[in-house]
Amino acid sequence: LDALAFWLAAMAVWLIALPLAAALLGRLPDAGAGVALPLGLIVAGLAYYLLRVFSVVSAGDAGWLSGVLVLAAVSGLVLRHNRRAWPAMRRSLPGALAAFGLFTLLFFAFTWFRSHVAAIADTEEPMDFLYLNAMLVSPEYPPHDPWFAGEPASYYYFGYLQMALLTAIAGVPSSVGYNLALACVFAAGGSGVVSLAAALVRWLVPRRSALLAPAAGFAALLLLLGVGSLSAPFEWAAAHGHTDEQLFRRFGVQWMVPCTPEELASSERDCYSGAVNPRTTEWYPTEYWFWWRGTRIIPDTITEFPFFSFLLGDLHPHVMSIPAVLLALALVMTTWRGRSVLDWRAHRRLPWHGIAFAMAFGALAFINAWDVITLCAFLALAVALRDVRRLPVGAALLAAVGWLAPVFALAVIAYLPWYLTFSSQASGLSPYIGEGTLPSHAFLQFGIPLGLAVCALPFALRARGWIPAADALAAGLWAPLLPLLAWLGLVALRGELTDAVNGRGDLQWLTLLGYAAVVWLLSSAMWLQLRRNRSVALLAALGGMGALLLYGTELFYIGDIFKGFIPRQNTVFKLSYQAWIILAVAGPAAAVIALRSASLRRPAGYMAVPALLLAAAGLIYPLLALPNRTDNFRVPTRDDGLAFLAESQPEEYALVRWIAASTPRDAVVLEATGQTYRAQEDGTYALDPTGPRIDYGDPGRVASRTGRQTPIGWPGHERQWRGEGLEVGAEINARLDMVDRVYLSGGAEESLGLLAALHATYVVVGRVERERYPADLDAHFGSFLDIVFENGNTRVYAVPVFRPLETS
Amino acid sequence: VTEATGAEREPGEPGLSLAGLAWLLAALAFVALRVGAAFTLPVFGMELDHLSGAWQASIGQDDHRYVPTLFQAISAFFLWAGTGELAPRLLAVVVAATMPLCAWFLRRDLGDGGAFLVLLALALDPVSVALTASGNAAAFDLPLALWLYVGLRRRWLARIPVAAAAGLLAASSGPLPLLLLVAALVTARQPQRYWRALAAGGLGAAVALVLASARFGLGFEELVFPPLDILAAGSERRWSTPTAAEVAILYNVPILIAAGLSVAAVLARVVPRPPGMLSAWLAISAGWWVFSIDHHGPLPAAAVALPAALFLGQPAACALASARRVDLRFAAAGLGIMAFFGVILGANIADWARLERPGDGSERALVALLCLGALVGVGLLVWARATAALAVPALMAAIAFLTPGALELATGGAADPLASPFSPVSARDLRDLALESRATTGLEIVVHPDLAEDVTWPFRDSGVLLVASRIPPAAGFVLWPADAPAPEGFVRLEGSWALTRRIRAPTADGLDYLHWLLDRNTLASRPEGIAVYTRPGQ
Repeated sequence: LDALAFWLAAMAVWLIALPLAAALLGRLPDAGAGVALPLGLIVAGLAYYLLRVFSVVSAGDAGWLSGVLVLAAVSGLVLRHNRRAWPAMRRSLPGALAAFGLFTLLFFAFTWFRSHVAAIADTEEPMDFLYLNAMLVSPEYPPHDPWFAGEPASYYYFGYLQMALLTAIAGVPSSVGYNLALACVFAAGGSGVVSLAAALVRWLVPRRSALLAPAAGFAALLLLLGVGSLSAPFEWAAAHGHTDEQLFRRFGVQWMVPCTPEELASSERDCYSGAVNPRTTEWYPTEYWFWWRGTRIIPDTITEFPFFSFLLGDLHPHVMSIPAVLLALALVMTTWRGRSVLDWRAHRRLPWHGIAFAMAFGALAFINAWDVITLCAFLALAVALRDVRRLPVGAALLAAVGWLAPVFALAVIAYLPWYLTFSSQASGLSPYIGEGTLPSHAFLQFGIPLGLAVCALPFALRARGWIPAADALAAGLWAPLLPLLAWLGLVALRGELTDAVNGRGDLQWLTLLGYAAVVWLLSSAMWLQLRRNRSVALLAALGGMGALLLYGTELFYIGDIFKGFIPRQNTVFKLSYQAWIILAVAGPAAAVIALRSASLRRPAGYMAVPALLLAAAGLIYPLLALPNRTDNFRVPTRDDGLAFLAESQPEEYALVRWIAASTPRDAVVLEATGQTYRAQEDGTYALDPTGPRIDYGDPGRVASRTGRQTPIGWPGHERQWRGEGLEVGAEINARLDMVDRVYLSGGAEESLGLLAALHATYVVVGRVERERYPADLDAHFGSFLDIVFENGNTRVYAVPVFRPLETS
Repeated sequence: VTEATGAEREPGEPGLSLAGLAWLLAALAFVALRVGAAFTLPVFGMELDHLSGAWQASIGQDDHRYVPTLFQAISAFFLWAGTGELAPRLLAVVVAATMPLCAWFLRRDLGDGGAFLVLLALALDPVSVALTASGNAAAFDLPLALWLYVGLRRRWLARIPVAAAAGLLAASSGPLPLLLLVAALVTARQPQRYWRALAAGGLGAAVALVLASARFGLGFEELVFPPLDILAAGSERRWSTPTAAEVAILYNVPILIAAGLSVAAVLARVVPRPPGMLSAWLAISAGWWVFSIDHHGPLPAAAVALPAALFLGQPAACALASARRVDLRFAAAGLGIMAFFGVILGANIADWARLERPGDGSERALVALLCLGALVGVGLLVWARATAALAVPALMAAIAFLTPGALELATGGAADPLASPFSPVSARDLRDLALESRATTGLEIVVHPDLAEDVTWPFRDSGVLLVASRIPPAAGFVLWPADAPAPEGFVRLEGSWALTRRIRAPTADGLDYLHWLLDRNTLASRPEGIAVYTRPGQ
């Protein structure tokens, strides 16, 4: 029933947003029905956010309706006054029905899968749950950071807000909403990518070949949500004892080959050191989370892809942004396809378009800041090239700036309250000086989407005569050349040119060259087709953009907290993820068109066959990973992410439910910091350095599960979000110290003073606190606090209340 | 009703037609039910919350229950001037008493019969009675929404002063007028033609925003937009014992069914399409009600009942007019059979409901047969193309359903879950005892934090109380949760003490519901028990 309610809520938002999508994206064959949900969530979410920030709406489930009410008003106005919306909706009815059916199918299919692994307990899931709860319960907006009491959240949390909106409207508990939000993102991503890939093909083929559009859509769906790393066949072979060391080494996956005794003795080993006989008891690898390695193939980077994200189940911003990225791509595509010149005067004709673009592209930063620059650059390219088709280059660029400047300005203004409370950790673009990526690793991770994207070349590079082709090839050369020159210039300026050039191995240079070639050829194809066939040019531009992102991560990185030791980890992670999404739209369309255009006279199009076979090989990853993750679907199913807690730690579960139901939204609840202490002989307590990690796991568990604030949750993450400045570090350390002293202090007066300083009114004493603080906590707190909750060995103490109440 | 316009009367002859008399009676019933409710109902539900907030505001205390709608502000003023709940209630009734006039103005839209049926539905709707005869913050909502609808239909709102006033009033009331205005905005054909009126309305709303943010002179705190504040608070507070879904089942079923049938008739093009604004209003309100089905409060049900009543007016009048044209030679048999079997069936089921258990096998078989018989009657009507004849018994059934609820509220609502939770008279007696104790001993009145909100209304004007989770030494009279351990050094004051009482919703099963429909006195109010402690020897 919860799943049904959530689905109904999502479909209500989708339905309300349809006219808006039709007015904006009427050029798409489904009139934007495939991406109407993210559009609706952006409008309703932003409306709610601003109403809350300006205190027009107070906290409460029904307050979320105000956001939907604004969406309904906007959409209704569009339907009433935009002449194109209603005809577009009527014309695209089959597309809308397909989007509806696909969303429904994917939503319930994923819900079923997730019910096998419903627990919100692993990796960074508690952090994601924390933000979802913060959006739901925060008494003021911008929402508080439950792991840093008294401070607003400093993260890109718009995705959480959108999912909280659906959770609240559906009236489901957040622990269920978390899992259903994943299903919703999965389904919205699926219907979005199908919509875009099908649109591309529909624009590229005549009406009689229109059936190719759903075929491309299906392939795009598989590529976005089904296909995984090509390391999986090696995993399967290794699990069954087939480890040809030479072959495995050639593909850079030698760590799957069992270690020799000498290697086992070494501290730095690059081989498999786990149990060998038997390595698996089933037809699939049964090694715990073997599929994790499929995203850690390129050393010191993360190369996650969407299937892995949904398999893992972290509700991270980069996952929730998939539908919004697809919406932005849809806007780029329709902008590209348009004919009229876009300059500042266009805003006078269609002011609502500019506003809608600003909302959608501004939202990208707020959902997952990494996406905004890429997609805005792509929009700028689309606008500029659209104008170039009509105007001389200089005038076209000026016109494009005239149209883009107000859009980008408004995109910042609309989300200003967030910008004012967000402290970005990005410390600028730096040239990457390091080993780079091996060709084998690049092949395993990105071979499938890139292989499909280059299928566009046979038909996109087709020219009448050598001169236009040569012109285009010359123009396209700038695309890979400019970043390379910029990289060389920057490393030279730093005086590290020799190190940078020598630091990259020969094979890694080959990878760079390969990426550069793909970027060059696709850019040339785009340039060649720009005035001849704008749809082919768009296809080449999409492929080129995806390849450029991969190429770029070999040359540059965006500095963050990991700058000192694994500098490009996040850059490769986030940008390759974007590349995967963009290539999931372009690749299947390119392959389908290549196959259609292939003939014995023009056999180049048949290159799509190996590309598609490679993509089929990518399906081995989900085939093996799904049974591994779900114990071959033998585990009992749950829809509540905290059901595991109710079963394994009922006292903790009761504690969480009590705090959620019985404490005020703005309560500060003290819980263990995660630092472990041990008692010393002199009666004092010393920090135990062998204790568990401070981040991840139990610390901040109550805050995560209820959205109530605690002075300090995961300190490492707070540093990531708030920066590594001295002030932040000092504040975090001070909070850690104060909370620990409350639990370990002997005196009531000192503890009450500390509680007052931390603005805390509740103190949790549960299993975790008893493990971390070896003191008689009940005797200590019982002497000066009230017991307000007790279940077995778990208690909540409250600071006594004493206040006058005036009645006359 | 439409045709009973006094055709026999000579031109110029003074007198009252049958239709006029019916209008007058309905209007009188409308007002009488609300006046009765205002004088007899205990302070309950939303009203209890909001009057408590208004009281605290009137004595200069911050209280989250004070949502600065215009009505709340006036209530606070009345309370400051020393009145009880009666003055705010009478104000609400006076404003609501203009609603029959709205129905009168709607005759052009709905026809005489349609407008009359709307008035009848509004007059007898128990939720409307409860909301327009109590001092809740949204007491102006129903009349204001109806007046706005009339104003929009008759283009009064195109006039700048009217638009400004409408903007001001809508932005300083509850959420119901806002829903209508959103619907009107969305469905307006050429809003740019009325930009002056829109600007004036916006200006009025801005003024309301400033006034509300200044809490109507009680001090600025932050930006406040009362309609959305009440909307949000509706999901947080328990403004009624039944949920919004239960409120609709218990009180609004006939209106909602009739509106549903009207929607079907409109879709089937049997009756003319109503204005798009009304359809959008009904859709938005229904959306809110669906969203709120598990929230405890009457507002969502009231929000949907008002446009539903307007929606059903014209189709229901058409159906009744058709019923008059039915050839009774054929219809009489069907109606007779239906009535015969229906009455026996009703009597049997009523019996089960009274006994609170279904009958044995033979009785069930009999009921099944009676159902079949009643259906045969309906079938005969359909076969004789006299389906419209059903409109008359349907109308009678609707009136029979609505009237007891409305009368129950008008006479005190002693067993009505809509008027629950409520503050009993005994809570005020408890306050007198507490004050007496304080005057005698000089010791403080102490209230547990869990009871601090409940104590506001019955203990108003009682000086300073102490809210404490541990008993302070100066405590003399203690209000404590019944299930909490007794404080040391105190003795329990014998008696059944309560600050609020509740009446459960009779929706445990179908028979429970039927029993309550047949006999409103089946539900007894239960006290939200508290313990009262005093010093020994007091």
